[in-house]
Amino acid sequence: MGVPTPMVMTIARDGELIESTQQNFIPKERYVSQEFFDLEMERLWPRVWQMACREEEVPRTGDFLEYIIGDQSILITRSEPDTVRAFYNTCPHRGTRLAAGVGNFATGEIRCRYHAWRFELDGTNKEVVDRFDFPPTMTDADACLNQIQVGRWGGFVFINMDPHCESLESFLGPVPELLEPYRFEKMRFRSYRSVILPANWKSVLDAFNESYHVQGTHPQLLRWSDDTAIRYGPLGKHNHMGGLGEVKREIRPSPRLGLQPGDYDERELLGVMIDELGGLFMKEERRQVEELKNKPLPEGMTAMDAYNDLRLKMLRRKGGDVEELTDEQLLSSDDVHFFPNVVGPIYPGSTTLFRVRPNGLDPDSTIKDLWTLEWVSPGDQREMCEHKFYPDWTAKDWGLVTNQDYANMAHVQAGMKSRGCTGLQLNPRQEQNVIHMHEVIDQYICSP
Amino acid sequence: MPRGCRVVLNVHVQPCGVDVEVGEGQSVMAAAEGQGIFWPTVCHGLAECHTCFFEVMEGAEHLEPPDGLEEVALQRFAGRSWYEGKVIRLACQARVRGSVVVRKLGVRRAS
Repeated sequence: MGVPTPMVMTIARDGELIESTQQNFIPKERYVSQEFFDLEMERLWPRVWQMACREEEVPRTGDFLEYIIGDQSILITRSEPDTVRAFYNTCPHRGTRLAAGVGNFATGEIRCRYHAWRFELDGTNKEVVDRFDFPPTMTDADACLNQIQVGRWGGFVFINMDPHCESLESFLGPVPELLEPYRFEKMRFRSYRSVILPANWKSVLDAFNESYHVQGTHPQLLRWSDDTAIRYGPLGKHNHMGGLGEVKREIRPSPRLGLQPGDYDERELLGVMIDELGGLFMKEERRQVEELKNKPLPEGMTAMDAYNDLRLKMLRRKGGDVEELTDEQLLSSDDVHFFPNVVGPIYPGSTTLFRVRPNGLDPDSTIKDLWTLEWVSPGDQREMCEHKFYPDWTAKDWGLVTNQDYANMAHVQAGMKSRGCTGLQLNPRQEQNVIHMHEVIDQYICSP
Repeated sequence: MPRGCRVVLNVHVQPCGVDVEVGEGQSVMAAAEGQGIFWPTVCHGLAECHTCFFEVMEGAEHLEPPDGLEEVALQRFAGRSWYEGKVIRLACQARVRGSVVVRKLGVRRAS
């Protein structure tokens, strides 16, 4: 074995950037210090491509949506049927925020509520009231909305506040090619919920970017899940988890249980898996498991094979083009972390993505958006679903697995603030995605 | 016989045929582990992993009713068709007051 390379992690202290080079160690300041949080606000968020919304959230010309990151509000609008634009949500006159939430500029223009300056949907100025009073040095450009970069891929609308940023294509790197067969552009919202969690945005993200915690936090999942076989690795700036391949051909418990083949019934485990993961599966998939339970398995097929067979038929009925999916993708899931702040499992035909954002300028509070998307049958012209918001996560039963994750959050954040904690000692294999995320954060914050 | 226990009761486990001698007040799983019998678990008695559950085949009336912790855990089995009509208990919580026959895959004498 070679000599391990120390991990270089930057922290901010008294206005200086300090490098910590302890092996396998993330200084806790990166999660709890206001100074590091402010550094992210200054150097990470304004420079990185962020998943601001889905195309179907602004389907008609004039539709708008406010995307908030920290103390920055970005106005996304569909200015023409095929053009989506993004602006800093501020009037060039006195800085008034122009729109909030979601809606439609029904008059085909954006009008400031304060002094009635008006703008075209493409951001150009339509009227400066009493312009003759202003000095002639004020140009048309001075009176326009301040536009920022927009990129689109897979039905997602990305924004980037850096006018000199790399292209979205370059930023996403190998992700689109890996995920192409899942046809994100054909997916639509099944549900959209947001919740406030009492922890740093990275603490929340970390909980969905590794499976090392499953045996501690969700031990009930080990009955049907071989958590030790999950593979992790970087995808450019992003991360990947999953790809169980052959392991998933036979649903089986974690080796941590000490069971042997014959000690479990595969069909029972399949049913338990579908129940435990609840909302991640479609109603029809649940029905198929019931079907399987009540009849003998076809000769030479495992329960997982038979289930996948039924699942494929269902996806084809929904008009899904499953032919491009590899066997591994059909049998498993690709969990992808889209740097910096979106993570989630992607299945043939559906996905649940978790987008985490700092809640204002508070390093101890996060807005977590849960997007459940699915392929829709041809001709299904569904409207955008209702966006439900839960300021107190304890006010709703999220299902056992999610409740377990959320219950950890406050303890993680509070524990890191202890004088007895200096940082995180991460598992170099099973938590490598967390380590990699920090390395990529440093690429941004170390550049002035 | 478990040390300090006055009454010893028998829990017969199918299909492995193992007999567990359970003392008064002892959980089935604790008794099994004390006798060198492997019983599947991850959380080792916290009623969190649900891995140690067994199905009661005979003598359900000889089991103490589930306490609050076990009751919460057993809700995970309620309403699921696979377990419909079956009496399910957690070995890490269940106490017995008479002989019981249970079914649990994976139980074996540790080698």
